[in-house]
Amino acid sequence: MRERPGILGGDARGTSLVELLDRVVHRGAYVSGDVTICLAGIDLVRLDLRLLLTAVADSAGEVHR
Amino acid sequence: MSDDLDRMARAAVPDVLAAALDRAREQAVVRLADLLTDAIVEQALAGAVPVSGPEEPPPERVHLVPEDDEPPEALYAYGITVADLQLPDDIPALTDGGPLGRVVLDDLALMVSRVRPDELRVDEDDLSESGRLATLARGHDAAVRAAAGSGPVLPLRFGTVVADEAAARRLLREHGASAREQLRRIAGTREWGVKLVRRLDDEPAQVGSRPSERRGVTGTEYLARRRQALERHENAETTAERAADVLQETLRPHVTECLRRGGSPGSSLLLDLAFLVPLEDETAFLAAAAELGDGFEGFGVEVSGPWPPYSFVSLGDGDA
Repeated sequence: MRERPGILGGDARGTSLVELLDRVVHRGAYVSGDVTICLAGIDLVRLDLRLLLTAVADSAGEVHR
Repeated sequence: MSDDLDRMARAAVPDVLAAALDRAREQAVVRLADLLTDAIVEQALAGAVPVSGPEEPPPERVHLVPEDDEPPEALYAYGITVADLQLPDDIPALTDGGPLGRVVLDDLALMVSRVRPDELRVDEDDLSESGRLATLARGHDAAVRAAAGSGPVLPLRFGTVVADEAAARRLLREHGASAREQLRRIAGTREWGVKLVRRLDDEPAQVGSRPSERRGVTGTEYLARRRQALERHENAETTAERAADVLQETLRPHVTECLRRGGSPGSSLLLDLAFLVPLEDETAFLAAAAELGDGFEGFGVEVSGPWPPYSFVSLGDGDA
């Protein structure tokens, strides 16, 4: 098992950054634009591409291990 | 006679126009090239010719805003809680570690911290653990988790910023009904992720379709191997579907909600599920997930969590 479950106290240290971003950037309640002034300076397309590349690199690493 | 001329002239029009367009394009290119040449020469001369006489003082810089003025501040929003939730005092803000605050409206509160919008600029190419995006995302997550220790928190999407306290109250007013309903729904639960992944070492070696990969393999042999590979693939899809059913059926008794986050039979990630699990059922849930762990030939079960209920919250129809 690659992702060890975090301790039950609710610590995120055991979680991978990719999984974290997958949750906080793509999930969580989205508030529509007329109340929010910005949604941080994140280019989501670029981020998704980068996450994809990271995932590919990870699985390639596993093959060669 | 003149009718014939007219007819010929009309027939020639498209060709003439096409030729004229071509010529115009050529001339435009030439003229643009000339202009560019002039500009480049001018730049080159300006740089090459030494300045004679006393140097002119540099023009005074004009500032519309005095330099020491702070850029306008806004409020970063983490999540929504009930107003009487006792937050720990020591939750650090995601940008500077300063204190977290709250904006209260009626029975709801928005967890916020002061932020300058430029502090949230990130480089999507830097996904290292020490990168800006990692620091901010971990900060957001840590604040939500810390608050969740005291009671239900409805996490907002990373990067949500409102202008000021008035906007924060407007957010609470506009989404209050939905927020209350969801805070009730997620109370006493946490999110767990369960993935069904193809084990890479079980991937059978395949004969590719490129000639270089077929060296030393006869045509008949090649076709036979291709057919076997296809059969294996179809079997894998059936197995994956069955595994997904078993996974959900086994875990469902221990959860209040389940949703599919992604995954596809053709990829190495066959299934990506999220479960909302009551605290008192976590032990049973994890035991069941662990038991499933090695039960599928060729597949592995990966558990992640606990998470704040990121995958189970939404506000209004603008939600993705």
